[in-house]
Amino acid sequence: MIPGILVAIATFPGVIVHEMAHMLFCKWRGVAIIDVCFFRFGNPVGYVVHEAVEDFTTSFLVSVGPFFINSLLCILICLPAYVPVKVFGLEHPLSYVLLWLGISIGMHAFPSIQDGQGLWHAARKAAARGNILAIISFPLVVAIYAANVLSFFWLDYLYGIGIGLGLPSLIF
Amino acid sequence: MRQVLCDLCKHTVPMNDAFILGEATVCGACCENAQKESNADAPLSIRQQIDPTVCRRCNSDGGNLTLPTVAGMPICEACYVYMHHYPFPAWIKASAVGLALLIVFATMWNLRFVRGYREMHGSMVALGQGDVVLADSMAHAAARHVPESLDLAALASYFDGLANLRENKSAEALTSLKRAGERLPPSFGVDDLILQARIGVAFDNKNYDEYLALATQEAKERPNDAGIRAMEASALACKYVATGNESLREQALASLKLAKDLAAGAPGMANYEQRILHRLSSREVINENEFNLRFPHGWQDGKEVQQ
Repeated sequence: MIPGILVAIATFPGVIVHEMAHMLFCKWRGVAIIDVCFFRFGNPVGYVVHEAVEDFTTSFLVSVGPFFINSLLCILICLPAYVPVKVFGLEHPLSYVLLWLGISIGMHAFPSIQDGQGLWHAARKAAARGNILAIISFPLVVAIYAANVLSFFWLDYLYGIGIGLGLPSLIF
Repeated sequence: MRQVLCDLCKHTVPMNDAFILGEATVCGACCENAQKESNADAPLSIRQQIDPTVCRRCNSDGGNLTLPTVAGMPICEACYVYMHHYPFPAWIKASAVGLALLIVFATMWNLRFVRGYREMHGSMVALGQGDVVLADSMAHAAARHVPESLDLAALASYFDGLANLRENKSAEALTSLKRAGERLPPSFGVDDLILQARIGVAFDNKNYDEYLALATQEAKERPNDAGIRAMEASALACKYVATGNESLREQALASLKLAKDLAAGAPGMANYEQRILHRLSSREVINENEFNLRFPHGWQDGKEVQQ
């Protein structure tokens, strides 16, 4: 088995974008940030320590923000780079660099285990209180929680490859 | 800063240096001694005391003022503002700008490939719908957008070949179609088109032996194709013109009859029939353009049709 840290090093731009997205949503929602590490050779490879959040909307955005940002960037970068390589078979180095960058970012779209668990508990509490967003987003939260559990099987990395290469292959 | 009294040694220490050991307040030294003397099987309950007047982040002393808290920690006003407006490091800002520029650049750089793909796809759709003119223009546009693609160049050559065949420019058609045939799949029927072009070249060069050989070969492969049978009749007629062999004339008429029966009044057959009959009657071979110029209203039974 390839150690996760090696994959994280090979896909380091995704880690940085993931933490940047966490931080962005913290700042946007006025959540105090205690410490930030964008990348390091350790476990976890990056983190954002912030104050506890009571409001579910904020909790949801801070936890799921990287999922949206990383996924969007992955698609934006991979979609145009896919065509020359896969459709026309033109092997330009820049296309490969773009695909590596896009897939790296997509591979770190999933919220971390800590994010997933925190969101899961917050969603359950908020849904029980009748919070509309919690109820609407519950399937997504369940999916994220399940994906976190399945990250043992590299599902998070497969997701990056899926949206980076699989999605364009459905379009082109 | 607040001071507390150690319950064990009775010394006064800063609150942030004191601990809660069970129920007692103790200084750091006493806490360490208690830990050493304790039974390893029964770990002590130790908590560090937190001075609510000292900032946990920058250690600034707030005097007697109780500071606001963030995540349960007393934080001074400056640190409170800083933590709520935690700045992105400069390298992260630069990277974000770089990433945004890269996405814009990559999109612009790859746009011609996306356009090329869309035009190629549009060309295939138009071809499927029988709109050869649109398919032709879209294939050429695609090849212009992605000149390094050999497949798109082949597709453009394919349409060049079709256009040249339509205009009876057989030699040019043959060149284009041979280029297309190297890359395009068999579903495009390039081999048949190449054969048509070779037949046209043979006719243009007055190489009637080859013209007849190719037409006969085609007729054997597709005996029920009216156009092929008419072409066979045309080749036989040409050979008759060149040799005067009556047997060839008879064969030409037989093939023409077969073609007419197979065509069952298909458009274009009448003109082709007239040209072959004119050839057999006049023993003169003229191409389609010349025939149409000379007999704009058609030709029947040895004379021009009048209108």
